Amino acid sequence: MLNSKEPSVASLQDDNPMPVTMDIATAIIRLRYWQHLLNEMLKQKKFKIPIHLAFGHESAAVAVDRCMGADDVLCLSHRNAAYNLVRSKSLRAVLDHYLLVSQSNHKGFMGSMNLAVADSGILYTSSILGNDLPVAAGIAMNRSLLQKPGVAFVFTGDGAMEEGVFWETMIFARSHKLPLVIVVENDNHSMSSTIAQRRSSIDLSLVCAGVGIAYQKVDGAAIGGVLSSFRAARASAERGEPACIELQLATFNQHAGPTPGWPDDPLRISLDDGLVVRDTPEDPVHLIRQELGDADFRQLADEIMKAEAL
Amino acid sequence: MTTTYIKQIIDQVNAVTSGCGPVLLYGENIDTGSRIAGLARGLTVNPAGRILNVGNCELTHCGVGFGIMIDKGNAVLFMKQLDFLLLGLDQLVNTFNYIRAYEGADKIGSFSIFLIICDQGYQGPQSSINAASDFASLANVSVFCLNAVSDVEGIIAEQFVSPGFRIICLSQRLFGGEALDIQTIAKSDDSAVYHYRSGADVTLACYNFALRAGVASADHLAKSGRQCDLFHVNFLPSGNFDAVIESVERTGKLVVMDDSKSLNKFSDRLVAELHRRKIAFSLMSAVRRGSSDREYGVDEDRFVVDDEAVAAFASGN
Repeated sequence: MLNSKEPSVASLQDDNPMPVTMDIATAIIRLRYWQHLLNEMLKQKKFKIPIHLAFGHESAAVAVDRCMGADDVLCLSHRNAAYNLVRSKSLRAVLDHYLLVSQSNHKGFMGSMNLAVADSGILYTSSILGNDLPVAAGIAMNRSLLQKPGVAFVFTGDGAMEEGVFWETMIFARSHKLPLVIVVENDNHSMSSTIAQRRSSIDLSLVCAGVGIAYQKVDGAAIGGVLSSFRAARASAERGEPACIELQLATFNQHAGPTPGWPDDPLRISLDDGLVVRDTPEDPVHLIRQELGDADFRQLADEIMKAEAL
Repeated sequence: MTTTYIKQIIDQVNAVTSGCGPVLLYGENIDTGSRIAGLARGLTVNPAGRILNVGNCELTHCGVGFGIMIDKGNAVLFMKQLDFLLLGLDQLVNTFNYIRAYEGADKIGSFSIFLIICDQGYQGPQSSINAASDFASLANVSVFCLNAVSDVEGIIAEQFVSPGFRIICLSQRLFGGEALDIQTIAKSDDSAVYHYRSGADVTLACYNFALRAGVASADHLAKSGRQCDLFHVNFLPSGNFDAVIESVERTGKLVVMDDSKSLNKFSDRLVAELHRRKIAFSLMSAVRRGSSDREYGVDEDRFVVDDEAVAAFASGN
């Protein structure tokens, strides 16, 4: 029998952001550098396939990597580059897929939008909006059925929130008490449309409250808060109380480098201009530089770029 | 002792689910009310498995099944009806293609969609779709249609909980009718083809839920002293149809029967393959392609084959 009580709204308080260690700072800077290298290759037209970089998502990627337990899994959208990089801990592992050198276990070329690097804990990626949500719920259901450990993290965006499957998956997860964490990367864009350009606003806190799913909105650039919210969400999901985290973040170089048909994209991202893309708190690397101080940041960045240069 | 079509199928399902270990059997109203129009009435599962009633979200149900499969589990989605499955097509195409490109479709867990084709005609426009083959074609998926006792036994035993993904369809038109208990002469290893009668005069290839019409035609032929090779053919995009091809090569006459309303017929592929192999044969087509406007409303859906015409064709007249 399902729980027929009125949904209760659990809160995932973010009172104690996790401290930013040197290890975490290194991971964020390294991830930014890898994305810069890929972006430079994109500009040089080195790839036959579409690639969706995620400048601005570094804190989210590093945070989920740090929060995932050994049995946890990750399901992603087409914008999975940062997560594949951080989970594989290898630019080469990802690059070989982008260059169609590496293949899947079944010898299929998976390119970018459906990439899940082997042994990364990424079990599914999809280029279809919202497609990964029920698949993640299924994985969580299997864990529940078999009483196997592990939480399923699934990433989606403010565009996929509009799909019916978003609502369906939340109801399904809550109804069956699944160990599922839904992360909404709200960058205010679906392709080139802002939220205001395409739909009414959605108060996700109220949606979650209506279903009875624990919810928290977090600054997606600030690693400390993202880490603590992911950990709280994971603990909630592990108890059979699925959770939803809304990350307010910016996606720089909105689509895949210079985007045809997108004349209002003003960004020019170049490694020549340094690792920081925007000198505002929206940029996770800007925040790391603030945390470390200019001199220490520059020294650490130089060490990373020297070690990771292709 | 005779049994009904649906009772025999549920008994066979229970025979599998009683001993298959962990499996999730889920669907809308699977354990309440009519149990999905009787599809799940009397359904049982072993202690490691679970029967789960779920909400009305077919796209999510398809994704959940694939998620369980990816995580090396076993899932069966009970569903009524074929047009509900349209809501899950995105998962059938994108996620299943992901799985087979990554790991190979039969290398991980099991996911079966077990569904009723609502083909009596009394439900109106929603039952205008009765062609399981269209799903096989859209997503390059194996689709089985349960017709007779033998193919029910074989397909449920081999496919219901087994690594990989497939769709298994039942005809609601046949639910209360007697199970069709006819002897199997042979079947292909992949269950693409079931061979039910043997004869040298003509080949009858039945698709979707046309086997009963095929049996009636075969009986009619027998009364006039003619014998046919009678086959039920499932919708397997990579299936082994050699037995049918060899039969046509022998008889030189092929009758295809298909009660589905799809414009695209799997039997077209058989005909094309026969031509490719330069096999000389005559063709009689007893298939429907689409319907009249009137038939998309509420009306009894009947598939009628002209047995006299089949007999005349077999006689070479």
